[in-house]
Amino acid sequence: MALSLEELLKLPPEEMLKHNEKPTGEQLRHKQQVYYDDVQEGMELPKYIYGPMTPTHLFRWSAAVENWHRIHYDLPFATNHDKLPGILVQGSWKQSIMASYLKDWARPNGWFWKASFQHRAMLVPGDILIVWGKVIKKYAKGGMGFVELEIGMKNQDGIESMPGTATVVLPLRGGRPIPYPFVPPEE
Amino acid sequence: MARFLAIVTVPGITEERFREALNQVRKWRIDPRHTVLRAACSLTEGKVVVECEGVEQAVFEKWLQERGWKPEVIHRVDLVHEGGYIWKVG
Repeated sequence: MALSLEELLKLPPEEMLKHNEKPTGEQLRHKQQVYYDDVQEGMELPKYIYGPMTPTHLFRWSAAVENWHRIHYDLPFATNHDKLPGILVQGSWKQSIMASYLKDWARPNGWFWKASFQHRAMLVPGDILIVWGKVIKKYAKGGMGFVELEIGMKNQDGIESMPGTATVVLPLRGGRPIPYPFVPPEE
Repeated sequence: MARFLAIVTVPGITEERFREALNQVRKWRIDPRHTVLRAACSLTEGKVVVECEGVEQAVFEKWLQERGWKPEVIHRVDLVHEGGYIWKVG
């Protein structure tokens, strides 16, 4: 039985990691579709847990996306020049994780349509990150199921670093497939 | 923000005790405004030096006390040489 986000945040960090619901690649390949009909308002999505973050994680991302801003890998610069609490987890990494998270939930035949979020709290090595989502509204339109979500990425202390909202389009049970590429129905 | 440097006398400190005191630390970032940056230890002289970036010295002192360390002095420093650069941190 998966823990709720609230229950998870009461655990010590080393215990949190045991409740990671991130599927393996193999599990994703065989993932069962979540249908619009199965979703209820207030329902939580599986929570993905990353970390503890290390300088290696950060440097790998900086190298991959060629972001050479020193606040992401140069600790003396980050702490002494910018007076930051450490080198910072990249916002672009967090965005990519959030997109993967929502895509994973929608797959294989749903569509992660859109998301909007803010980068608020600074995350540093040592932090454990919990990616979460919660259904706040659902409606069917044009033979497709639209699910609006509250989303975010909290650290082990429950500090929300990335509050936002997203819309995922899921197929109706027995309904037509979500078209690819997805074209939103007209208002 | 300020940079604090604490000098603590810990008679008989060993590598094991130093590691034990710091391995228990879960939050180097004490709160959004205070971060312990590094700690150094002289085993032969029984001294520990700890550096903290923050606003209130009292928050740093409390963190040291939680390690069982009572600082003999805490300096507020203005300049740091590190990584080939001189940084103004005060």
